[in-house]
Amino acid sequence: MTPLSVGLGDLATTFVNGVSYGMILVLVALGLSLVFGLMGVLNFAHGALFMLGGYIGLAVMKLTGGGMTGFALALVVAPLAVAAIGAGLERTVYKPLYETEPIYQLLLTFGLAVVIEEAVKYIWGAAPPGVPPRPAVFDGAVVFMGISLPYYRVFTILLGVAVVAGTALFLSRTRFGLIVRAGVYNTDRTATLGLNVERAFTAVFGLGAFIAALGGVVYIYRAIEPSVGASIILPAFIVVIVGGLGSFWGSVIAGLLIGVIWQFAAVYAPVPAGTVIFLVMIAVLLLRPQGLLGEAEVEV
Amino acid sequence: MVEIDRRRLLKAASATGVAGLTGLAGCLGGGGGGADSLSIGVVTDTSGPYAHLGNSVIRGIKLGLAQSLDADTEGLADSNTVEGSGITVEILAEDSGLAADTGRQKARKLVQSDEVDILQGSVSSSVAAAVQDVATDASTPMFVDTAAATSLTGENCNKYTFRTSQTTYQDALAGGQYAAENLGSSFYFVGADYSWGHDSVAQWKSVIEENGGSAAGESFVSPGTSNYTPYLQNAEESGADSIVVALTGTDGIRFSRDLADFGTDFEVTATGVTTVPWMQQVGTAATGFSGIPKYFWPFPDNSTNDWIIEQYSSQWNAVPSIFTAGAHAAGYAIGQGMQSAGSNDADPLIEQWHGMTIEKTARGDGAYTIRECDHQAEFPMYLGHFEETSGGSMDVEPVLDDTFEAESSIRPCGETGCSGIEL
Amino acid sequence: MSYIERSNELFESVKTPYIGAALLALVAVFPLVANAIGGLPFLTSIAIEMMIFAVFAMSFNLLVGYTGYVSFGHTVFLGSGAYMTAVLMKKFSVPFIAAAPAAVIGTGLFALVVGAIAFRRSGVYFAMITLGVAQVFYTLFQSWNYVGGDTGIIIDPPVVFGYEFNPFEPMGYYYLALATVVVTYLFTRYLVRSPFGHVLQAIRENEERARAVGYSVRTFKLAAFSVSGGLAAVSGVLYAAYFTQVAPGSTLYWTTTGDGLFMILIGGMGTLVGPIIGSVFVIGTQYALSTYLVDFIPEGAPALVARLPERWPLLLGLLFMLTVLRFRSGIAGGLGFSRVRSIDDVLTRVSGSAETEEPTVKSDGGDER
Repeated sequence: MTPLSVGLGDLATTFVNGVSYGMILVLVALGLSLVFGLMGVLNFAHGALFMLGGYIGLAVMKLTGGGMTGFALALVVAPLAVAAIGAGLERTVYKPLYETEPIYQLLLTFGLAVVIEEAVKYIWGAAPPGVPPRPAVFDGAVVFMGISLPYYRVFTILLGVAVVAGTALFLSRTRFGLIVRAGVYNTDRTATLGLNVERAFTAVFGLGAFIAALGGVVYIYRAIEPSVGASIILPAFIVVIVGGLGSFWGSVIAGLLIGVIWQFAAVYAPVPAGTVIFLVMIAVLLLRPQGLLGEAEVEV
Repeated sequence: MVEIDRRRLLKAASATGVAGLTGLAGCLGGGGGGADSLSIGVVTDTSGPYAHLGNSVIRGIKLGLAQSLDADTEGLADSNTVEGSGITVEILAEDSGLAADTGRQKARKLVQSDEVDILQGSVSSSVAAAVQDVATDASTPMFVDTAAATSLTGENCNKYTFRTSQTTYQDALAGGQYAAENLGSSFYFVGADYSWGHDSVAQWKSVIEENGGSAAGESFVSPGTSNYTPYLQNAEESGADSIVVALTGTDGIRFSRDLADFGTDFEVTATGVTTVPWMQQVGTAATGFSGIPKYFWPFPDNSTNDWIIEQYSSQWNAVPSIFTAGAHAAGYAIGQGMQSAGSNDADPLIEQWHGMTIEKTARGDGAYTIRECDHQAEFPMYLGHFEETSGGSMDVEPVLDDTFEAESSIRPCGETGCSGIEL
Repeated sequence: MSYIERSNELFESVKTPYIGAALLALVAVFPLVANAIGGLPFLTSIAIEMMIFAVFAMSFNLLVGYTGYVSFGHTVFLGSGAYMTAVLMKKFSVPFIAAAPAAVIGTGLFALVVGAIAFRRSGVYFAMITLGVAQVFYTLFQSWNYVGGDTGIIIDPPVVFGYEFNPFEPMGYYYLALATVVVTYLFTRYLVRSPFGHVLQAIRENEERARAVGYSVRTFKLAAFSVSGGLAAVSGVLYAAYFTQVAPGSTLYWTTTGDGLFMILIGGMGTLVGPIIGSVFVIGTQYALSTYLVDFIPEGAPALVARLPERWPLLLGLLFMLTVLRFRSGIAGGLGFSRVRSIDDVLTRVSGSAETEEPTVKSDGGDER
């Protein structure tokens, strides 16, 4: 099918497209990784918060009449709203479970994902919603050395970089960040040092929800419907696992790497692309069980 | 709040017994009445990602019944009963999600506990196959209204199964011929990586090749894929000048976004992709698609279609879906059959539907004929593209390019895999 | 805790056999009574589905509750059993009576292979490897023509010694499923109380110590995984026989594993009867909500209320959350069956991070050697 003669140009194109896809994965997985790092729980509801962010963003855009202003407002309002919802959920439904076994938190998030998705259908309907026209700024593509990269992907990449940088600064420069990093290392000991771990939990959960919702708003111009949350959650899990559970930079690298590997597999490999990320994950877990950067991060 | 929910749950749980008991009384359940009453059990997705299609189908059946029975359409949106010309038809809808096992249990329930006279469904071909299996075993007629797998009226055809929606082959015959004649000479195929996608690609490919086009390559994409650049890249490397896409739901939406953003100059046609929600999301990116073999509400110019659009917008504040026309035809055929047969028994009704020309349909008077050889309806196929528009709730509108005669957009009786139907 | 332990003892020692026998008798005559008063085919068919998934949940519980390893891909063994049965019957004309044991043994071996890979890791990693395996099979089967793609394989109801099973008169299925549930229950009870079961529980409590004592931990875990997979295949065989259609969306997709976890949790994890109760409750609630909720909405109710029946999974999700938040010992726990102590121990493994941080994890890698 694919011609055997593969020029450098094709490889470069594949690589660039893979990186831009990987950045979407990073955006989706980063909040999940943060929450895992502190709470030790894979949050099944993360995809639902992502989707909820998209729907709230859409509501904001419709209220403000769409356009660039509406989209910009959505990028601010929806993440804040979902962060508030996430923080509220952390206080009310997650918190009572901190003393119990982690599987209960996992199962709770499983139920919460269903509840959020169904609530969105209940409010906005089950069908894919109408979306206002994308601001014309995003039409077209940058062409560099024969490789074209659409403006919307450029925007997504830049936003991803900003989120990664912002979160890294938050973790390294703020008091919350310090508590979070200490909490990742050892929750009990951090608490005994008199640090307010509880508030850090709430803040991190809110931050995770914020990033998820930001991705959701960006995804409005990919495709939005109630079940997109459920369809992005497994790839997001895989990124977090491959990166090393709870490792911030691990998730960033894993997202980009999986994006590139997937892209090459989809272009050149004869296996169904849908199986690729699972096979990659299994291989990584067998060869390097702690993930790419898992161990290093825990020992920080 | 939580308390109320729990009480409701318990109430519902205890109701399992009660409702089951009323079911065994038979006549109370709706079916089994005189010749002037009938019940239809619809098994479809009313809660999942294709709930909008499932609901549009239920509405289509109601409209078809109402029109054939000359019923009052007032309050049709909130009622499960259509009454007119001395006939009462009850519609019992059951949610299958997209699960074949749930669909099968619901179909069994409709046949046994509710004693429905006719089964109908389903969005997913997998669920439709389950419902067909139950209907056939229970000697209950079934109308397929959404699922496009050719096998339902092909290898698995039988006297009980009828289909008024289009098969993947009807799409492929109309769309493939049009594509080979108008959209280029070399084609790349992108299909969803499950049976429907594989069937569609194989059928479009064979039709295009028969009509002088050539196949440059193909890719299959897992549902839920969020990046379509590898397939566009492969299409470009293959040297094709056109792409045929067979994707559904949000996969089709994301493909269309990537297609528009990467500014490729492919001609693109599609099956499955172009639904109304798709138009509402991709907006002007829809204009990249042409030669689409689908019913869109503005295409047919006749009084029945006008009536459907008017009813649909006043009752449900929406435009009909691409499956409403077929569901309406099924509803109309059921009403028409009951009036001609003067009975609600399966055999006389099947005799009516066997070879029936449906009087009023969205594609025109007498435009649907249920073939005797496989019980698949043949009907004219429309081909259209999308143009930007201002005003209205959408940025684009479908525009009709061509109409294919019914006979030329369906496989001849000998080639369907159906070994014939004996009444 | 102490109350539960006390009542637990009571139940286990005195009441259980009698209550069990009484319940069994009730269940056994249910379709007969139903039939005598005119037949309740839908309720009987839901009861059969409950029993099929009760076997699945019991097999899952054997793994989760007694070895402490949580798999996210357990449905692949239900699917394997169902697909092997259907393929043997449809493509090779093997009679059901021969296809069924072949599918169970075949799946047991398949589980051995999966286990050999997955048990190189533990905790979340183990869970994700099993999930990966199941999803790969799901993806491949969706488009594999030989097994019917996403529509799956449709078979005829089985005929055993001249008796034709009939989905429309499901008495045969009912007693077949009931017998399977009873046998599976007795088998798992025997297993967890046998020396083999004690070793498993020792591994669950402290894998290191079990190893130090001299048990070949890996062999025991693999054996348990294989038996658990084989039991899941038993439910798969029943599934194929009863539904007569085996499709990837219902038997291989990860949400079926999720349903299984829900059943175990709501029924009472780590108890023998919990999975049965959980299956009955979960499937009963699903059908009650999706079928009958609509009958409770008054005419002319406001739109938000009228839309509720369409959104029945919302209520199920809330119920799920409520169970996790307030009702963690499950129904069996509420009835006094729970073994609270073991549940707590069981679940430590699920926390991947806790493990990575604990020194035990390093030695966990010792499995590979």
